[in-house]
Amino acid sequence: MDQLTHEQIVAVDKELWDIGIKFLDIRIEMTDHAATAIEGIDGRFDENLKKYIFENKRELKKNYRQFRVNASIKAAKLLFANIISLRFLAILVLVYALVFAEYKYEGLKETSSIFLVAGILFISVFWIHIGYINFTRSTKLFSTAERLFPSISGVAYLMVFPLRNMIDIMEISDSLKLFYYAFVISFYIAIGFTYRFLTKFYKSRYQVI
Amino acid sequence: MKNSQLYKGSLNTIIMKLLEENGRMYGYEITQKVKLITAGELNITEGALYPALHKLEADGFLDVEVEKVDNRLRKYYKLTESGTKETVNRLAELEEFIRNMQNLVNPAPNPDLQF
Repeated sequence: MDQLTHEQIVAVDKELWDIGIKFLDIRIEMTDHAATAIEGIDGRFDENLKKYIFENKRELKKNYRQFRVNASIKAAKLLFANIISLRFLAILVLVYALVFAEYKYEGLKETSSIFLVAGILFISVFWIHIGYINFTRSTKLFSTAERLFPSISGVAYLMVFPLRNMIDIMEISDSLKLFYYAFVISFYIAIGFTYRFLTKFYKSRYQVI
Repeated sequence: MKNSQLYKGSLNTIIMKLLEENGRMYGYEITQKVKLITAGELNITEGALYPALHKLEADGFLDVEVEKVDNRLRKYYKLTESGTKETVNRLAELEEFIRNMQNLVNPAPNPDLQF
């Protein structure tokens, strides 16, 4: 077959989207793979595309599942690397100073309540984002960036709700409690930075505006 | 992949060896090259190839270049510096493995027992 036209490439991309290959970065690679394979077959494009998808659907889906798992691991690893960085330490110091100022001004109980409100806000953003990923028809989502929230949402939840209740009743110094509040808030900020970095990185790599 | 259990453990080394020889390659090209070299005996599926490529990339052994080719974007892979060093190690390990397997499967006759 001749080289595929732009419209035919779009058709390949759409077929892949329809079988559940949602993330753009993997779809770009799969589209190229499928297009190159189809170009090597004689006959009509429509028939060849249908045949290719029919014959390779299982492999493509298997590949995609594996890719999602790898993307989650990659996202979690990157977040961890960001958490042990100097930038994170600087954020932590700044947030601790703010938490400490609040503690001096209004006391521990108020500081804990404000921390809870901040936690609820962050968790809400996570869940709204995860909902958006699952229900949107957007064709421009990137794997590692979008897997970041689902891969750490459980930890993020535990850090705020059950752990806060435990810490509040524990007989430890106020400064340790303040450190916990500051660390969790900094952790959420690090998630935001990591997400922003990943989105920018992928947009630049795949030339998406 | 044919005889998947036997080939699975060597897939990363196969990919790295091909990239060492060819500079940079894209996924489909790797599958075709393997098919050609093995005269169609070994067929690497997408489900095996891409997770392996992505894992090697995540481990820092491969670098990626994305280019627009023939109306679409194409992702090329090439070895990083650490990937090149790792390829040498893995190939040496694989050669040793093949030698040992050869000795086990087809042992040389013991000269002490021969007359």
